[in-house]
Amino acid sequence: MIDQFAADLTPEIEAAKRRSSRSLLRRLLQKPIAIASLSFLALVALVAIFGPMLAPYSPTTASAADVLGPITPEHLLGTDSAGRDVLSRLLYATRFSIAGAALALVVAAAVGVTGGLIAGYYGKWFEGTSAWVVGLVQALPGIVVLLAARAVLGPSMWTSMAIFGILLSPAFYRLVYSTVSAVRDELYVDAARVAGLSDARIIARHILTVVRGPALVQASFITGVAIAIQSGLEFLGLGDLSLASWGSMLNEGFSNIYTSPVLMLWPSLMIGFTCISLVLLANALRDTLERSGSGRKARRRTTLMMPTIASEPVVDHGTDLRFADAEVLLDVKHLAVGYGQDDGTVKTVVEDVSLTVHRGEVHGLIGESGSGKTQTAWSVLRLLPDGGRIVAGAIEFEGNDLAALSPTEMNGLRGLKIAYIPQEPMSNLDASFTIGFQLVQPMRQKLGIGKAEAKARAVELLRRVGIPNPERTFAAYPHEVSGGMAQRVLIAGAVSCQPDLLIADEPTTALDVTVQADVLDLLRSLQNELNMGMILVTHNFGVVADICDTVSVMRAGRIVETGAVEEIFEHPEHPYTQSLFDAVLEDLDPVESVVPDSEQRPAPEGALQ
Amino acid sequence: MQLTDSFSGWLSSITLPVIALSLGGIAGVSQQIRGSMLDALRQDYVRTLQSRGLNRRTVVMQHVLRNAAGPGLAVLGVHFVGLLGGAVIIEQIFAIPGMGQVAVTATSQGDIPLVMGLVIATAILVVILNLFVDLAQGWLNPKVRLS
Repeated sequence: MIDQFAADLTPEIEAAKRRSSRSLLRRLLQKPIAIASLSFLALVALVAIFGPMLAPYSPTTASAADVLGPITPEHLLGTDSAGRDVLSRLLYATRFSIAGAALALVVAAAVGVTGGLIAGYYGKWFEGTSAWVVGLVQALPGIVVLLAARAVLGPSMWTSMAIFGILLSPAFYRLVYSTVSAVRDELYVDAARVAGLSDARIIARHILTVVRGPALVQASFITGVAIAIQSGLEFLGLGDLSLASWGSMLNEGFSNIYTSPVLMLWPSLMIGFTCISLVLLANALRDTLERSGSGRKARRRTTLMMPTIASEPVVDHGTDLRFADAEVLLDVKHLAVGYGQDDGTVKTVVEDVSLTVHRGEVHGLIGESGSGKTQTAWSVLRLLPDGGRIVAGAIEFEGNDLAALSPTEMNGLRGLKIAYIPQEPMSNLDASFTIGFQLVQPMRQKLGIGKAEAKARAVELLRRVGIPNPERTFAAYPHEVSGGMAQRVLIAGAVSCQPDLLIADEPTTALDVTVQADVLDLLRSLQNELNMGMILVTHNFGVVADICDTVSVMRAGRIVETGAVEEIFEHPEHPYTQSLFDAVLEDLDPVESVVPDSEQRPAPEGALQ
Repeated sequence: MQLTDSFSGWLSSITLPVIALSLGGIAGVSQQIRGSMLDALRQDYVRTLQSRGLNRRTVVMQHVLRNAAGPGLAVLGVHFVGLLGGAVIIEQIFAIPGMGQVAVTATSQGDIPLVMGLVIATAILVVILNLFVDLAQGWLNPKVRLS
């Protein structure tokens, strides 16, 4: 019955497959390079098939009277050292060279694809053995092996090319093996197996269709390599001298290079253009396969249509009275952040955001994923991802507008005045350098202190952030410490130059619950000690209640409610804030969603283009 | 031309062969380095390093390049095998008396023991080079040292 069902579907699947391969060809033909190389290769193929019929002479007819003859109406490309017609030889040679390369390709594909399928799909002992054999084959230079084969087996182009096909088969083997072993345990393959389909059908339908595209790319490369190696062998005089081929013509030309250099030109042109076309075609094909969606590369527009951003009312409870007289450290005014799109529009992810941070104040920025809180934090640092820009508004920090500073001026402030603690501790340390190096390097650059002093300060910092064995951690690599320790290291790095403003982007989200409280305590005490202003990005009201003085609630790129923490906790006015509290307090009644349609919501943070 | 005979003569006699032999490798390695640099630039730690106020050159040349060097080195190791093969042809064109020319002569004369010896010699060269590549990988990336 399942087979019946599958059989019913088969024509549709076949049609879909045909459609997809047709559209691949169509997308490929949008690239001028692909058209040019395909046309040249088609021409070469035509010559290989019909060339000998067009050739005016036999490739082996020698004539002592015409040795190294010039270009004449009888001999359009002249004659070689044996008086043979160069044009005729070239036409015949194309057939043999292409046939040799095709043989190598067929052998490589047959051996590589079969081996890869067996190793990837069935595994077991074959997997280990074949990996070993492939490593061995790849470690030997092809031409040296072919020389040895020629010494043993004699000069035959067909044998050489068949052996070379085996030497090239790892390219297919690796491709098929990695694809198959990745697909082998996919659910849809399991499903097909459970449905009772035979292995052969599963391989044909689910696995070969995945491999087809990349295999075409490999095939194009491999044909190019085979032509080059074959010509190389024959150029060395080790090929089959009875056959006219590009390589043997090259050899002939090279031995007469001082008397008739033009003889080298024709086979060189053929080899060169054919190999270049094959490689360019492979590249174009790979680009087409990898960029299956939009097809074209994103173009950088110089003129962007700046959006106009309307103000919307914000529920403002006023700042915490304790900071009424404190120095204003950071004053963000009507900030808008956007990402330029391909069509020249700008997609805004932060709109009309205004917030103030006083010295000594911890300002929480709360909202769900994609609400623009991280984008706001990054724009204060001026470290937005590629394509991101501050579209409108000002970021005043100690009297300067950060949005208007030059990159060098901004870089001078980073680390020294404004510091950043990231969310994910492990991926934010460079795995190639010791923790100590990553602490010492910025201090030396920013504070201009010596190596020994920087090291002493770094160890002291590590002790301060609660790392039990600072010297050992100083010498350790990031992968040798735990996530909690790594986050402490990042905190130590952020405060190493005693900044005035600290931006912490969900500093506890990636940590264990037990470690979270410790890290928050640490942040609070460091903040008190250095009297820093701080922006704390979070999605957790518990964290806000724990250490924030003021809080701004963000939704869909805008601040909807802002004010002192106590005020907001007691009198949340905006329905969205209330719904966030309801979510925390486990209200019994189901809550209606107040999140706008996903259409209107900005794209998720960090996932832009 | 030997190095011991004349330095400038030696230099001019190897310039063209070296350029001819290395062009393909240069293209392959730079393509790989470009790709892995672009990957490394997208990593989180790059933003964090910049947030520390390190200048762009330090971040790119020290941190990003070091992280991107691993794949480039691996490609270089693979290219070495190809270079050994390419040297056979280049030696013939520029009439350099090297291993490649010995191999060609031995092959055309059917001197099978010599050819076999050369195959083994190349295999040993490749093994030694791969050892160096692995050691360098360990130096570049401390995580590799563990496994």
